[in-house]
Amino acid sequence: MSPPTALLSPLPMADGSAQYTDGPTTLLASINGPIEVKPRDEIPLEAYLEITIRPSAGVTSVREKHLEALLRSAISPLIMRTVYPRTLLQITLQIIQHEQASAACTLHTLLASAIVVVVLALVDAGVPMKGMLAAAFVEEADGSAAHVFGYTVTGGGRDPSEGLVFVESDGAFDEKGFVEASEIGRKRCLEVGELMKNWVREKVGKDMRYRLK
Amino acid sequence: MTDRRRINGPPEGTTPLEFLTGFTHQSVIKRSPTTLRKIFLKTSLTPPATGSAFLELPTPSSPSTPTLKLTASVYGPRPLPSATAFSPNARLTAELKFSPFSTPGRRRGYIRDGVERDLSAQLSLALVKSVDVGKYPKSAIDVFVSVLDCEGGLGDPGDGKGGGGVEVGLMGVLAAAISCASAAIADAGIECFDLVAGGVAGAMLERDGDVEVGRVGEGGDSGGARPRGEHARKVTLVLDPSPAGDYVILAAAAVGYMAAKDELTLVWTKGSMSPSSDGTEETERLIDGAIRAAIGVRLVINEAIKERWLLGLNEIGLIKEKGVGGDGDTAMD
Amino acid sequence: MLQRKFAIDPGKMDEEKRGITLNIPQEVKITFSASPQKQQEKSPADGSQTDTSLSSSASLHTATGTTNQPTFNQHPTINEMTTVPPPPPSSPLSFPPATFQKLAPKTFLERHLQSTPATRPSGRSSDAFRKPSLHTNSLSHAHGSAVIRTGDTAVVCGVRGEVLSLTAGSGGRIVVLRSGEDGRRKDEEGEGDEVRERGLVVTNLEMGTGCSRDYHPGPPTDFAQAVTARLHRLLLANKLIPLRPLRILDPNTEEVKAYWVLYIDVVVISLDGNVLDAAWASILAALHSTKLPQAYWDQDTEGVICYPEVSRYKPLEVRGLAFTASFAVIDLGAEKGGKVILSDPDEFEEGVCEERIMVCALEGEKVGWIEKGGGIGQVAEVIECVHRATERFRVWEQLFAEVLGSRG
Repeated sequence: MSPPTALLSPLPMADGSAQYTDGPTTLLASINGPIEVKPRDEIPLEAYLEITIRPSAGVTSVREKHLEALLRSAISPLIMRTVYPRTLLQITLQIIQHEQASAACTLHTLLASAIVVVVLALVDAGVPMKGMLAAAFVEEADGSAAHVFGYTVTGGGRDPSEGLVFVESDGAFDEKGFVEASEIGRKRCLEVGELMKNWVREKVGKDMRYRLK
Repeated sequence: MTDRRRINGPPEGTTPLEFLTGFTHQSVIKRSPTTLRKIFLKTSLTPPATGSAFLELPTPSSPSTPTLKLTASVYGPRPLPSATAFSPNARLTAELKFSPFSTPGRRRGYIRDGVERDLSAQLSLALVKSVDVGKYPKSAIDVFVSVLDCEGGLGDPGDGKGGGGVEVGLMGVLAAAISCASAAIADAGIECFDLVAGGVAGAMLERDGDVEVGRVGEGGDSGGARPRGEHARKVTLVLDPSPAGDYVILAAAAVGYMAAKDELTLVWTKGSMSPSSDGTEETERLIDGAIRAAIGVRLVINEAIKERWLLGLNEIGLIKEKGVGGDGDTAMD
Repeated sequence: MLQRKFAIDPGKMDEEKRGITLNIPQEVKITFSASPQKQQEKSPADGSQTDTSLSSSASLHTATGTTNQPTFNQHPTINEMTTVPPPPPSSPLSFPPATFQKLAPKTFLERHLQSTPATRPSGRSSDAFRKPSLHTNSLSHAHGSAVIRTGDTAVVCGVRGEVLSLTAGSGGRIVVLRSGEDGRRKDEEGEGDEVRERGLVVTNLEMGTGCSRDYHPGPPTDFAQAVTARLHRLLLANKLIPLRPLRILDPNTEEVKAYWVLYIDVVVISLDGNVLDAAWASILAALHSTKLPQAYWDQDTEGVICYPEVSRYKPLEVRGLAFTASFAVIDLGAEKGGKVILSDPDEFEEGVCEERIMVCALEGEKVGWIEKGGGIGQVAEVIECVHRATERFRVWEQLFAEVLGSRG
């Protein structure tokens, strides 16, 4: 399988955007904010986070709301929402393509890619964050369990045992299996994190090229 | 049109069950026409709400008896939403909702239908006169009633009840909702002029005409004879008619009644009266019957609220174990 | 590029700010007194609160120091202040615990957890769950039902069967698998897939019943939808519902002619946090108590006919047990006790804590599902939650055995 690719700022009009392709999955995330917030959603000391997921076909359903809730719990601890109080930060994720050979684990692979692309878009938008989050999908060899782990790759923890932000595990497993999987997940997250840093570096390098001349 | 915000069933649609023969396993508690069924009423079962109440009818119930179960919760007085215009009085709104599993026949959807809209409107009308709305300017009082289980007789297709006459199920639900909501308002500590109790009475057509006028209840409750088909059948006034009961109701009335002020807040009649007279007398008799039913229910509401109060006083140590310990179950004969 | 400027009109921001502050009456001054006898006077006034409330009230005074905390002016619950009678000019204002809880919810919870022994505002210790109670089959029109109450959270679940007939227009049926469709773990029979693809289980959660002041009638909120999807996924992933009893056969050919569709509706009666655990347990109990009438395919009418006799109703052989346990995590800071995991959080704790861990424990100390989010933590915290969930599993298991009998 070819390594994942990413493109930063594909949408010129959004404050930040990123497109991410990992195998058969292609996702596009855009960030707008901080912008004016509806009085109903206004939070006095924090920015309000609005996450919308659009499916590749059809209209949104309960499943997208569930994905939105999961995505929110993954990325919200990293965003410094207090920097822009009483504003709105809009995150839109468009699923361009997400086909799996089998129906197995589609939610998990989608979730892992979604976290990566949204974090990239947030970095592209210059939203203040505590660190960068990377996510990885880990599957038991016999298919008895599937996990998604989200670890911070910058900022975050002081020692390697820390930095676990997000877990979504399904299947039937025990404590030992989970600890082992989390270790694999952490290593994969660090790998994905290196890729993410490279993409950002590349983008910043391009943007700042005029300075070097 | 599928509901995007809920999980929907198979797109082909599903059908309610069809049985080989009609329902036969419903057992109905035998009682005389003027006896009300036992009511279970308890307040403060929804602690997050300002006030709440739960009503069950009849009690005790066996698994095969259809029962009416509903909860009412009250929020307020709380500030009106900023978008609404100034109001010198409190605004009372009532929402009545049937749970999807509450009715016989087809499963009920989540979207509010016409029946629920109608009952909600009647419920708020019945309640608003009892609340001292002038005491709470710029405030909203919201009443929510959830019907968890009902006895049927709602006039839905596939309800499984034929034999002519009118359906009294909705009236029973409304009357119970009024009583339960009023108890919840009192539980919320909102100032009221009086409590509203709901009562239903129906003109029952006797089967085979074998019940003599003098033998029914306390006497004098029976209406005039009315020719129907070949037999002249007796029409008897029955209080608190059960939709699951094995009789035909020709006409029925539901009232919301404030016993202390002796005022009606709501009257709802349906069915046809005797064609020989103008029906005024019979309507009056029906309404009187419904009021008598409401007075009986009122005693239960009083007991339930009193019990809760004694419990509260006991908790803060103002009184010592006196008359406390019941479960809100009040018998009525 | 990382330092991109944002187009915000500063004048507009100020206007909004003024809009908020204008609501505050000028005469109400928020002052915090450090005088200990004032707290002594206030605390007995609230009979329902325990000693911990007093100590937490006291510690705010010492912690936040002296007068006029400007940050409080922006707090949403500041309007509550207007209901507090203005203090006499000589003595500074002091709050009863309930007001303190509304003004500074986070500090309120933190002070409780820093007291010894650490106690939550509800009086529970951090690893204590609320005691559950269960009643089944109390509804007359549902095929199975259960009422679960844990503390002040109460839910009713009704399971109702309807019939999906295969003959009516099922020939040209196109099954579209949507993205995010969770089709994991199929076994040899492909049971999970059949239940899923045909949509034989329909789970819904209704919160617009006046169960809490934050939920209004009308379409479900995002939260209710997310919990609904969560419950639905759990139900399908654990494969608790066997496919065989859902099939309705032609008595002659043994061919599948129709299916039972189970409508599982959870109605929240009272909400005080942790709706997931209560809703899940109610679904499981309702399914365990579900009895469907005996049905057969009638060739003459081309429809499904059921026998009305109660004795011919058959229980739905639900396989096994699985119970969820939810946790909220609060970070008190490294020097003040670090992270505290609160089992079975109530509404107030859920509002304060952002970090959540949810675990579904299966039989045999296995785990069926873990979800963690909302904060930066470590694996050890998740493992701690798994241990607590396993213990909680036994409590539920015992309750189910008592109420439902030896079945399951």
